[in-house]
Amino acid sequence: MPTTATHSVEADAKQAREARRLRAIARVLVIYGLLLGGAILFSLPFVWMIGTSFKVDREMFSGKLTFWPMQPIPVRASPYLDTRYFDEPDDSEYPAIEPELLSAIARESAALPPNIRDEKNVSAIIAPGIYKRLRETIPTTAWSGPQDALLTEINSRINSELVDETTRKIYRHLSLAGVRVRSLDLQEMDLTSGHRISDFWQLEGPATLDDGEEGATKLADIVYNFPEKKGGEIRLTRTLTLPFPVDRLHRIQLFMRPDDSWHSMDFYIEKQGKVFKGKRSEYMGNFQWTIVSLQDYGPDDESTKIRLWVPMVEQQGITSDITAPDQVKLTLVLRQNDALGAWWAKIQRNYRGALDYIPFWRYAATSVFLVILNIVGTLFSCSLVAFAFARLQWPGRNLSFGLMMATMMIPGQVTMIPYFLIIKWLGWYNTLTPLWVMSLCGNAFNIFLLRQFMKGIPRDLEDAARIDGCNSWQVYLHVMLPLIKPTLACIAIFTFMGVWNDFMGPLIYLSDQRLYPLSLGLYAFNVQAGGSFGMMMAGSLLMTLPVILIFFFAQKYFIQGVTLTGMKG
Amino acid sequence: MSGWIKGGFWGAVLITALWLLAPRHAMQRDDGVVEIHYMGRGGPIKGAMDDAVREFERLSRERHAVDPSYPIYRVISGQDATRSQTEDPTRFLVSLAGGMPPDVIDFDRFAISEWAARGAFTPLDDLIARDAAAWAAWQQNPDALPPWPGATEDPPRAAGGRTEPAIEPLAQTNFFPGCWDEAVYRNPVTGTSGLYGIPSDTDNRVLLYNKDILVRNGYTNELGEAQPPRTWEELEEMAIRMTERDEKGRIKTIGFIPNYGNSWLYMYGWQAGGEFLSPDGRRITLNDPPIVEALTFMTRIYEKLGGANSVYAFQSTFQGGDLDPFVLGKVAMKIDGVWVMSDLAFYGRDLNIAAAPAPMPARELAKGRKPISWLAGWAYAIPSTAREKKGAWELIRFLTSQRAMEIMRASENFTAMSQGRPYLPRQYPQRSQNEWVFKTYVENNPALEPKFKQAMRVYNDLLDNSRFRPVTPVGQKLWNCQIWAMEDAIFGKKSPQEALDYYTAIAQRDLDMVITPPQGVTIRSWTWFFWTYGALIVAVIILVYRRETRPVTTTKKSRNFLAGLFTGESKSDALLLGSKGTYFRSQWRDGILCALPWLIGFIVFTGGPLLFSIVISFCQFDVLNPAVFTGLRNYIFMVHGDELFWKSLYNTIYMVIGIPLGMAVGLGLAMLLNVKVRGIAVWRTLFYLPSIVPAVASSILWIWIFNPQSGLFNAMLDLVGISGPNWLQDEATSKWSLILMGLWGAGGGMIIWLAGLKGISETYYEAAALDGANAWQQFKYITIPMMTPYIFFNLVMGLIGTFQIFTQAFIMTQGGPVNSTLFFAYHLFNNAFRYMQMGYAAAMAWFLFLIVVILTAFQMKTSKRWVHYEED
Repeated sequence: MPTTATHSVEADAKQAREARRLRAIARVLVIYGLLLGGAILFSLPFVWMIGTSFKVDREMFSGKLTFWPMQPIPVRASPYLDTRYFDEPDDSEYPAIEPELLSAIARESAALPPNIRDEKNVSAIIAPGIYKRLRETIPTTAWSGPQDALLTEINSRINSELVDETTRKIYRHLSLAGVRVRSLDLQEMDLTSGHRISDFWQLEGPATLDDGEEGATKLADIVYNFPEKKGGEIRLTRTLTLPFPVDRLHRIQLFMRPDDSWHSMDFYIEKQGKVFKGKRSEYMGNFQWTIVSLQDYGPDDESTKIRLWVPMVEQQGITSDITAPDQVKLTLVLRQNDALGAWWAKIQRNYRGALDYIPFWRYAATSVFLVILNIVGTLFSCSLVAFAFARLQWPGRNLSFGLMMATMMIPGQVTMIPYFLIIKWLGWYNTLTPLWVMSLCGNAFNIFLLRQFMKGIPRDLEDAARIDGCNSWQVYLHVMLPLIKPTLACIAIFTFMGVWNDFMGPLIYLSDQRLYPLSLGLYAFNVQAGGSFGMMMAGSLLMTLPVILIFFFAQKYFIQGVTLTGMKG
Repeated sequence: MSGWIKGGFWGAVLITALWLLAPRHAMQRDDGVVEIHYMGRGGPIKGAMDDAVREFERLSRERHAVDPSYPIYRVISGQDATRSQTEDPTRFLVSLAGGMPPDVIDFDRFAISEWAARGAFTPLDDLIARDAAAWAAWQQNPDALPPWPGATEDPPRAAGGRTEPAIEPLAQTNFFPGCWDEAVYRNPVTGTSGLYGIPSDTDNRVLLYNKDILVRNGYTNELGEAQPPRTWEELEEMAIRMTERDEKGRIKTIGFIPNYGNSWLYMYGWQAGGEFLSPDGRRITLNDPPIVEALTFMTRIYEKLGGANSVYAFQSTFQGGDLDPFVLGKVAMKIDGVWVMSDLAFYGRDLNIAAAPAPMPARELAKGRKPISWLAGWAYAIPSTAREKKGAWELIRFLTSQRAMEIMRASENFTAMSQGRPYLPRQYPQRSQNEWVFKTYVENNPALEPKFKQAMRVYNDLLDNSRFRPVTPVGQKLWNCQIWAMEDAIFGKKSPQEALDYYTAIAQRDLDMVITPPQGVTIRSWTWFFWTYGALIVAVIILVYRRETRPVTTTKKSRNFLAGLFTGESKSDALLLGSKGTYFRSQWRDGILCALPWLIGFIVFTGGPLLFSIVISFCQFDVLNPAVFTGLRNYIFMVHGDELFWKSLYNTIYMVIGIPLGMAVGLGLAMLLNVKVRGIAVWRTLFYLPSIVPAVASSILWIWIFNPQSGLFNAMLDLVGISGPNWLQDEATSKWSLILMGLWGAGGGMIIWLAGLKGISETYYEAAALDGANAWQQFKYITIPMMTPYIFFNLVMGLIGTFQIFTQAFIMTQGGPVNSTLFFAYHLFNNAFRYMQMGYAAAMAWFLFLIVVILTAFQMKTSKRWVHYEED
């Protein structure tokens, strides 16, 4: 009998242990579940922002918001048809109609561009686009009507015009048009006039130049066929004779249409015996007409202009045989890209733009300057004032506290103008002073927060210090400050974010853009970038990065608090 | 000692860092250079404007070399007067009031009259006349120095270069009449009129239609091409017939939405033959019978489409761009302005669109009227207190010349093309320039598809027959009134007649205020204000000192009402303070010294403006003119006259629901993130992200999440078989949508909770655990009581914050729909900066103050019962 009893006691204990273990596991699971779920929910917009910052413009305006950018695919041969442009139709009617579509397209194949006419699958690539158009233009009733009538209708609608129009949407070719030079004295000249584009350039590599025209514009397609593995290179050169002395050259502009192939193009200029290389490569990640302008260091670099041009950098130690006072040798090198390189090009594209387009670092330096002054000022003044409100007795304390709370309750819009007048009267208009000096006077929100915290600290600590002979200043420094660290960390983060993102303050008190902090500079950039949403997101992300880092590292101060407080317990 | 060394070291590092980071004040001012301050659109001078300005500066230098009396100009620019969402005149108004206005401003033409009526701008008629005279004199005597730099043509500077055209004097005849007249303000009282701005650009509206959808529905001509509607009757029929629904009855494709794009009631009102303002400018005629008819027409289409609610679900777009249903081919027709063309040319490549004049009522066409449109745009103006008016005019003359036009368009074209986008110019107010731009960049632009050329031609052809919004000192209010009237009518709140009558009266009331301003004492000097302020400070100091040094009384009454209200400590303090022991006295000096930073800040920076706002709350004050003391008028109007006041107050109080919710979520998150798990720092950062994401980015995402058609929320609700609401587009749910958004940002408040939680000693929990308390009991008996100071803090701050909700309304909803998100602070902002009734705004602010004080005081009083401070 006793054995059973012990046995059951042991079993009970075991069971209890088991239950505790299960509970502990369940607890951990629940916690991690909540953390994971919450993290997904809360970081979703951020993930979207990151994804968007990699996208190129034309990916933005699609039917639904997408999180990730499209994969850039480097093609080996161009011209080609973009197979991903039209979505494969998912209508139930499509399979039945497809054969009819394909044969109708094949019938009109004369409308296809000659380069790709003979490739197989051409009809299949175009068919979804044709189907989309038909879906949009054939009355809804016809789709649900008799099949024969529908097929006849479809057949009659497909003509060379429709095929041509649809093909042009997905026909990608790398075209070169004019080359213009511009002098510092605003002289401008198109150097290709009077030439055929294919004669203009000297070509090396696995490609040919195919002349053509669009309206009045003469152009030439670069028809290329890169080898299987990476390393293909096409080189176009031309020695230009300028209508002005070469030292007055401001920029060279190339009109071109990329083919969305994500290959890179590098630029070299040789003049006055020196070789210059473009600081960045252009990636062929687009299919709209584009101007590439090449210019070396000049007056534009000193302005706050958007750096839309490719800055040319002198290559040390290389000489050129181009020395004539009016001659420039221009070299374009198209380099084959691989899948990884294409991704890299796409990912850095908007970020590079954001950094190139504004004097980012100069604006950031001003912001950091303001942030440091504000954090130091705020932490010091707010903790001191809160100490006075929470722990010291002095005449007018309660009245002052009431007034301080009142300042928060009056909307800023009605005090903005008199406040501006005071700033102007003090001579601080168009200086950075009004943007940090106020932090020395404390801020009602922070003071209130700190007061609440200080009131939660046991008075015994202070009394002990006083008995040991501390004066108020020492109590503040040695008792209060160490204890309020978690809250100070909070306030530092709030202040950092407030100053870093402050828009209205700099907007009103600064009129000279050389004094702009990043928030205002970036705003101006957003306006300029206009529709370039990806670049806007890239800029915003660059701006939020420091905040995230600060938050991440400031956290250890939260944790510090726990070991010090609570001597009552 | 090592502490001092460490402190000194970090201090030195900090100072070095600051010194390195401080922007160098490289503002060298050359002698003989005159600076012109320019405030334009879209930030500081860049791009096209930069190229133009450089040419202007070059011309001035050249001229200075021949004629030393002509200064060398330099153009300086800062941030602009506008912000992205809606025009925000804060910056300009503040700089005007502060006597630091720019010399030239590019300003919304529609608003010019409103500001000119208050004396903000210089009339330009004399300057134009002077230019004409100088030009004529020079024509007589061509050997003399030209009247201004650039008055002669500059030959091309190279082969293939461009001839720089001569800068000729401005001629009214060259302007489209609508553009010019919009900048002419005629004072309805005195009858004097003046030109207050030189139009810089313009835009009008046409009907854009998706040809494919029209073809699909059989609206074709004999050639099988899409045939747009010409009359209201056809439009109405097509709007309904082309609307397609899915199996669930939701709209898939819509024919036409009367107020999607940019038409507004103005378009239909003018088409029907209505006028919004009487010719003498003294009477608002928003309820003109043709306008009532127009609104009835709009309302009828909305009704036939299934009600404004379901239609609004369709048009949730952000800044006219992302998810735009027209670009996605889901809207057959819309009326919109010329600015959409450049986006359409880029994003709507595959869209088969065309443009036509907006359909007119058949009756009006039968009368022989031609189709009309309406235009708007911007203009260069010179603030009346500008310091460099002469230079300002030189700059304006240059910027409105053909030469500047060519430079700027070339530069814009270059910018667009460098980014791989097609360039589509806008419209320009001077006939010859507009034609030149159209020919150069539209007609002869090989990169542009024919459909866009056709559309631009339609836009331009309508310029001569375009109306403009009435020029009146209450233009902004009238604008808002027509929106409110339209929303009330299409949402079925009022009949069109009732709605228009109602809002006519509101706009008229504002106009009457301008025509017959309320009588009162005009405050011309503010010297007395400073004396009063000084006296007040001295009096308060004396009073406080006397009270606090008074012998102890045991009365339990609060000795200081205001302070008592806020601290709720009157009783215990009276006993505590009363004991005049040297110990407590010794703290006086320390207390005041410690509080000194705040005291100084308050006296210098905050107290004055607060007192000032009290004073002007009893005045009529438009910032630009001296305040007129009118007693309680503002307060009486607020309570009795302003309907939106109560509406905004209701909306704001409604949002109070969000406070406890936000606190619960914040505390919950903080507790979750207070557990000891691996990588907690990373988790916390992830939860904190929403507070870091810039408002613009998160707004776009939320608009998508709330999108009734394809949004995330409704997609999820669909899965469980609930058909979701219209969220932001529905007045019943719009506030809840914003509350939800607020909850998602609760991570920002979380860190305060976290700091509080970290302040609770572990020993409490250990003791409780030993006593057998379970998690819930620990939470209830330890966490909650220990957190009360924070709960209290969050409650007070939440209340203050809620009553000042502004940003969401400003960025996301602009107060709509049907004013359901018109919050108190937003209404106040509108009054202060848009309707220029700063006095009334101040009265509102003080009313708000009163409410918040009472609520806070109530909280403070009751806090004694439940807030637990360790110190006591």
